[in-house]
Amino acid sequence: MNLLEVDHVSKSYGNFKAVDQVSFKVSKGRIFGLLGPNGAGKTSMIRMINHITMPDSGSITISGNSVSEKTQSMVGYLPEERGLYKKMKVGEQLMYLVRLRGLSKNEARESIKYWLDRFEASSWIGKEVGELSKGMQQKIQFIAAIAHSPDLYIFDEPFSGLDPINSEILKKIIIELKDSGKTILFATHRMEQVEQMCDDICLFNKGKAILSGNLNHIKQQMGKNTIIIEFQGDGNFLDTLEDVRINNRSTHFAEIVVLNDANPQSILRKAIDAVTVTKFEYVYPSLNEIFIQTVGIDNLNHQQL
Amino acid sequence: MRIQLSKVSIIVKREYLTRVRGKGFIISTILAPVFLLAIFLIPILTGDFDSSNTKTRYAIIDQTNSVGERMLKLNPERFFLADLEDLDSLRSSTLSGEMDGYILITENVLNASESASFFSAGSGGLSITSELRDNLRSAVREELLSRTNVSEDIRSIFEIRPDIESKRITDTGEKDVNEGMSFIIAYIMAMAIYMAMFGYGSLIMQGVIEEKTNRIVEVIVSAAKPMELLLGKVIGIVSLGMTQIIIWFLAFTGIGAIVAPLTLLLTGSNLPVDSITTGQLSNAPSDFTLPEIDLSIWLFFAVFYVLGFLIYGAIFAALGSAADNPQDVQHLALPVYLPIIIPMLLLMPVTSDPNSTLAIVTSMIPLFSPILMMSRIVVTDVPLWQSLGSIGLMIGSFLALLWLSAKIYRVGILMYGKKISFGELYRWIKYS
Repeated sequence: MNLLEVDHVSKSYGNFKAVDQVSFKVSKGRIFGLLGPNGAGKTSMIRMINHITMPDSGSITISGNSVSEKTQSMVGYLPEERGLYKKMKVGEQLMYLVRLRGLSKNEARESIKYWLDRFEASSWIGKEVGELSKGMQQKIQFIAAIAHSPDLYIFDEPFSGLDPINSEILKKIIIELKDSGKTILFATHRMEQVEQMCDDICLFNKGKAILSGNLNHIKQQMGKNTIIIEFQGDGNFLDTLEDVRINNRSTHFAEIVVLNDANPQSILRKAIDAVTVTKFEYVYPSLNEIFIQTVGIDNLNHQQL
Repeated sequence: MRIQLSKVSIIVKREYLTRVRGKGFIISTILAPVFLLAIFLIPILTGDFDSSNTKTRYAIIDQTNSVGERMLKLNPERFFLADLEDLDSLRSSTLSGEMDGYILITENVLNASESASFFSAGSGGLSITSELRDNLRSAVREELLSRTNVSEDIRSIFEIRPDIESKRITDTGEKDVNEGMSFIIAYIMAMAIYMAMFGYGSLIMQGVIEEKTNRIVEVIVSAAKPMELLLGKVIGIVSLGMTQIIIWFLAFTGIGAIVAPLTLLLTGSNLPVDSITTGQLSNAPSDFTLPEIDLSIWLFFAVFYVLGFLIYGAIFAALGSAADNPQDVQHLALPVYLPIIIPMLLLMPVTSDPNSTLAIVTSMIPLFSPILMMSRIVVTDVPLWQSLGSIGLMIGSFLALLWLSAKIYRVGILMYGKKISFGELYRWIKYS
C-alpha cells in the first residue's frame, strides 16, 4: 500500500521551476530516499508534502487523503534548517510543538516523557534550551519531530550538523521506527550516508525526478560495473588507467567505474604490476555513480555534488 | 481559509505566557507610568520652583513718580524702586549678573507716545515680559484715571475682570472642565498608545525575526497555518497590552488616592509659606488631585490602544518576516514608523482646536486614529459618527492589513538570504 503518492506535482517561484512534473510513490513501512544535489528541489517537494506550500499543479496524498491541515498531524517533520526557542524551557517547548500537532495535553505529556527517557534527557526538562549544548538541542529537535507518533517521518538532511553520536542514535531510531511499521522519507544530498538505509529512492535533478524505484532493482539493472580495489603502495598507477572513472579515492582505496566495456582484468593486471593488491571486487555502482550515470556527466555541476 | 481556533489559542498562550513573565513586560509596566507621571509632575514642580525660589526682581526707574509705585503695590515681590542716577550701576550689575534687570518708565509712557523699556541680560522670557506688560498697563491706567478725577463708578468699571469658565454638556448634565487637565490626559494617553505601538510593534517584529533566525518557524508552519501563527502572535501580544492597561487602570485608581497628598507634600514642604498664602500661584498645590477619568474614556482608550497595535502589529509582523535579522528591516521600517510619529507632531494643533477640519480629517485616518481620535475624545465631545466611524475604519484597515501581511508573512518566513525591498514584498503578495 502506498502511504504517500506524489502525482505530477509542479511548483514555480516566479520564473524558477523548483519542482517540475514530479511523481513518486512511497510504500508503507519502507525507508525512502529523496536524493539529489542542493537546489534540486527536494526541500520544495517536502514543503508541499508538509502542506507548508501548495503545489501549482498535481496532487499529493497521504494514506489516500489529499494533503491538508488534517494530514499535517500524520507527518513528523525534521526540517533541514531547524531550531528551537532559545529562551523557552525544554518541557514547555516540546509541549507547545507537540500540542500544535493535535495531541491532547495528557497524550503529549506521556509521549514527551517517554522520548526524553529514551534519549536520557529527562533531567533537562526544566532547562532553557539556550543552556543546552548543540548535541542536546539536536535530541530535543528529534523529539519535537517524532513525539506525536506520526505515520510518516520526513527528515530533511537529517545528519547535517549532527555529531557522530547523535547520528548513530538517529540511525538506530530510524531503523526501529521502520521495524515498527512506520514510513520514513529522507532527503539528502549526501547519498553515501543513506545508501545502506534506503529501500527505495527517487533521484532529483533540476526540479525533475529522473529516476525512482527500489534501490536494489536499480543497482541490478546497472550491473556490477564497478570495481573496489584496495592496495598497498604507490597509487599513481590509477592515473594511467583508460576508459574508467574513479569516484572515490584514497591512498589505499579506489572505486573504479569501468566505461566503454573496457576489460576489468587489464586494470587488475596494471595494479598488480604497480602495487600489492589486497582486495579486488566487482560491485554494484554506488548511489553517487548511479546519479552521475543517470544525469549524464555533461549535465553535472561538480560543485553541487 | 479555515482557521483552527484550537491552534490559534495554543499559539496565543505561548506568546502571552512567555512574555508576561519576561523582564521586559514587568519593567515596562512599572516604568511607563513612572515616566508618564514624571512628565505630568515635573512641569508642576519646576513651575513652582521657578515662580517661588528663583523669583527674579527688577528695578524700576520711574520718571513719572507715580507709575512705579503703583506697579510695586501690584506686584511687590517683583519690583523695587531705583533712581535715575543709579542707571550706570544698574546697567553694570545687570551685565555682571548681580541683578536681573530694570525697567525705565519715562514721562511719555503716560501719554502713550513712548514705550517703557525693559533691560535685562537675557530676554527674561515671554511670560515675564507679559507679566510686566500687564502690571505696567494696570498701573498706567490707574494713574491716568486718578489724574482725570473720574468717579468711583467709572473707576470700578475698569476693575471688572469677567472670567470664562468651561463647562462640558453631557448626557447626565453639565460638568466643569479643567482644560489643562484634559490636555494632560490627552497627552498621556496619546503617549501611552504611541509607546505601545512602537514597543509592541517591535516586540512582534522581533518575535517573528527570532523565529526565523532560530529556524523554528518551519517546524511550526508544518503544524499550523501561517495565518494562525500570525493571528496567534498578534492576539497574544494584544492580550499582553490589555493586561498592562488593566494593571495601569487599577494602579491609577489606587495612585489617585496617594498622589494628591503626595504632591501636596512635595510641593508644599518645599515652598516658602508666604508664596502659598499670597495665593499668587495659579496652580496652588491644593488644586492638584488626579483628575477623574470617565469610564467611557477608559473604554475608548482600551479600544484605540488595542486597535492601534493590532494594525501596527500586523504590519510589523510582515516586516519581520521579510528580514533575516533586525538590521535588515531598518530601511523598510522607517515608512512604518512615520505614520506613528506624524500624529504625535499633529497632537498640538489637533488638541488645541479639536473640531477643526484638520483635526477631524487627520483623526479619521486609520493609521493616525489611535493617537489623534483618542486625544480628541479626551479634550472635546467628538460626534459619535466620527468616533465610531474611525473605529470602524480601523477594524476594516486591520483586516485588510492582516490579509496583506499574511501573504507577505507566508512567503517571508521561509525565505532566507534575500535582500528585501518594497518591490520584492509586492512580488510576494502576488505569489500567494
